[in-house]
Parts: sequence; structure tokens; C-alpha cells
Amino acid sequence: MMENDPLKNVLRDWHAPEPPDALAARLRTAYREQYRPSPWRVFWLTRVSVPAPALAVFAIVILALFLQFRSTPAPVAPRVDRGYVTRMEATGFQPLPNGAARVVSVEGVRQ
Amino acid sequence: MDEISASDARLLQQARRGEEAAFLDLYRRYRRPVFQFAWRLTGSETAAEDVAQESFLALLDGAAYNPAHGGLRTYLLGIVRHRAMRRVRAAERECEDPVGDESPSEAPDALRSLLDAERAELVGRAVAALPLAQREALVLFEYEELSLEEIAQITGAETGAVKARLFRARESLRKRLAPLLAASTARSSR
Repeated sequence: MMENDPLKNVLRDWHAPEPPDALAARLRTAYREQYRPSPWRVFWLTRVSVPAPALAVFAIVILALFLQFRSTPAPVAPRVDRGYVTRMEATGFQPLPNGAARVVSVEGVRQ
Repeated sequence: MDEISASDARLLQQARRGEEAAFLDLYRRYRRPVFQFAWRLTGSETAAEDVAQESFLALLDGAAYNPAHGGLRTYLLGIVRHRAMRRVRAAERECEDPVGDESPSEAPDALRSLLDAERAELVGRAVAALPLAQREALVLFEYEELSLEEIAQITGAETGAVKARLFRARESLRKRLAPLLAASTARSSR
């Protein structure tokens, strides 16, 4: 298998053709038929490139919006027991001599 | 693993995931050896196109390519060989008088007044007349410039067997192409 082997030179006369351009188009079509990804696959595999500063600004805006519009807890209303009156006017109030207190109903007061 | 093998492995992985650009990159890298090897085995451009297409698509479906076991080119040529062999054997079964099966004694008379194109055709026919195992070894060694080890890997034969096939192929070609060889020697000695 020497380099100056005459057979080697003669074999070089047998040239193979170049692959035709149409082969690339054929292969592309065949590849698309075989490997056409589903829309879901395209969606999940899609990559988006975002610069880090833009991503940071976006995150800050989202956080600010969250804090701005987050739901605040409703104030707790004081419990009012119907049927009882608490007199807030203390004019002429005199403490009971024996210190005994009595709870009366609204109907009792009206009567 | 060298840089090309690593890049091939990456492209193959991407192509198997559905990235068309990666697949076309692989095609552009290996279209020539794939198509020309297929053409030299089958002797037909149409068949070579079919084999090339099948081989590139089979590459995507096949077992995982391991760059540690050799380059992607060797791996691809192994697929081409398998596909082309099937076609050649089927064609030989259908046609009892395959192309290039002319008797060697007819060749020398025709060789005397050949132009370059005819010389090329004669060489092609002489190679095509070799038994398949010898033909593929010769084509891979002489035209694809693979090593004996790589040819052994593609054909699944021992390196010694590949060497023996190459030897027999060259001996056979020397007989078939004797007039061409004599002319070539005479030209180079002038």
C-alpha cells in the first residue's frame, strides 16, 4: 500500500459525483415529517433571552404591584349584643350605695 | 474526545430533540462521504440519494452514538454500508447480470483507446465487479481514507480480515486494470 503504487493513481480516476442540491431539500422535508414538534412541545421548549437588568426591573415592578394591591384584612367590628343598651352619658351618675349592679333589658328600661 | 466529536455529539442530540438547524449542520458536514460512499457501493445516483436520506434519518433513530467508540463519520458510514448492502443484494437477486460483471478478458481490448471519462468508467466497473466485502473495504480505504481499524469497526470484521480483503481486491484490480496500469506507469516514467 505504497503511496507511489500505480494502482492508487488509476483508482483516483474514478470520481464520484457531488451530492445533488435536491438531496438537502428532500432530507429537510423528511426530517420535518418525522420530527415535526407539537405546538405544546414548541411552547415548552421555547426559550426567551432576557437581559438580567431588565429581569430585575420586571421583578421589582411585579413586587411593587403585589404590595400595592394586596388585600388588607377588614377591621374587626365591635360586637354589639342586641337587646342591651349601654348608656354612654354619665351625667348625674351616682354610684349605687351598696355597689350592687343589675343588668336590665331594653324592654325593662322602656317600661 | 476531540472537538469535532464533541460538536457532532451535541448536534446529534439537538437534532434528535427536533432542532432542524442542527440536523442540517450534520448533513452539510457529512453529505459528501455519505453520498459518495453510497454511490460507489450502489453504482447509481438515485440509489445513493435514497441511501443517504435513509442513513441520515436512521442516525436520528438509532442507538446512542458514543464518541468514545469513534467519529460520527465512521458511525454514519456504517449505517450507509448496511443500507447500501441491502439494496445491492436485492438488485443482484433481481438481476442475474449485474453491472460490472463483465468478464475480465473483455476489458483489456476496450481499454486501449479510452479517454479520461472512459478510464474512470472502467475503473468504476472494475471496482463494481469485486465481491461486496472486497469492494467496501477498498472504497473505504482508498476513497474515504479510513484506517484498517475504522473499516473493521464499520464492517464488523477483524482487522486481519479487512487487510486480506484489501489485498485480494487490489490483486484483482491489478489484473482487471492491467492495461491502464501499464499506461499509467509508462506516462509517469516519461
